Amino acid sequence: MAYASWANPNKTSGNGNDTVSWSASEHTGRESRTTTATFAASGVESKTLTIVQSGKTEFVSFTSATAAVDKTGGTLTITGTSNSTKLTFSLTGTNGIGLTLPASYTANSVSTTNGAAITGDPGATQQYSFSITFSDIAENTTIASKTSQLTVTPNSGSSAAQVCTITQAAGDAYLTISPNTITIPAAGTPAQSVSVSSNTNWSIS
Amino acid sequence: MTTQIDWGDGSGQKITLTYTASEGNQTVTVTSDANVGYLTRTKDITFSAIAGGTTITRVLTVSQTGKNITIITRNDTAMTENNVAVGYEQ
Repeated sequence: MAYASWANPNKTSGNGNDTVSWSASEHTGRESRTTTATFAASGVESKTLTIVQSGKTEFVSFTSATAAVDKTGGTLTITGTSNSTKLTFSLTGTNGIGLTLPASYTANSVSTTNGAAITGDPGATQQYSFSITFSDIAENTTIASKTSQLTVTPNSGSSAAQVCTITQAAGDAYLTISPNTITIPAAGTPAQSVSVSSNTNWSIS
Repeated sequence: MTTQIDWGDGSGQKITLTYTASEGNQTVTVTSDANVGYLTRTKDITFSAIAGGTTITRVLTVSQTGKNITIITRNDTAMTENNVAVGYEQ
């Protein structure tokens, strides 16, 4: 029986006494994997070698530790990879952008409830991609940028959690006055009112 | 906070604008020294905001009416002196 393609011997034939070295491609699944190689020679009984590659420690990671939202708001999708049985997303620290955590995300192309076991446990055999989408992000009407933090925690717990810092660009400054024209009586009073609306400091001259 | 702006008509009189802070949304109240003249006077006041290298300006036009006078007429024609209507304060 042929050995799995992930197992790589440094030679596949030889003569007499020899040493065969085995390497393997990276295994991103949590569980170990096994294959068997057969050594055959003419006139003698074949011998088998069992090759075991241990699994990768449970992990989760964002594609980037930072993400950006346009000042006008809208939609933001954050992606990453993991081999965990489940992922739990949370907004931690100051949620300056005012994000609302979605109830579900996509893991291995399947919609998954936040914090629930992922269908088929794809991480057992290999890492999978995930994405979480924030919709209806409000426009930043201030002249300061805003930040929020998204944390994803794998089944193994918070020690393996990862944080993505989301920054929304500063909004544009605005200034309006209403009305634009006032008339004061000759006596100088009563006072006339002007409403000023702005998101920054203003001055009169 | 109070800002006073000269009418610029040579009278030395001022427009007074009063507000609680020069940031965010505010109501500015505007008063003036009494206009002792008979003519309406007008002054443009500029509101400015600077943020992110951008300057935004809005212009408030302030008018103040003059004293009410009764124009003296004869046969419905205003009497004038040096082309200025003659009248008396109401």
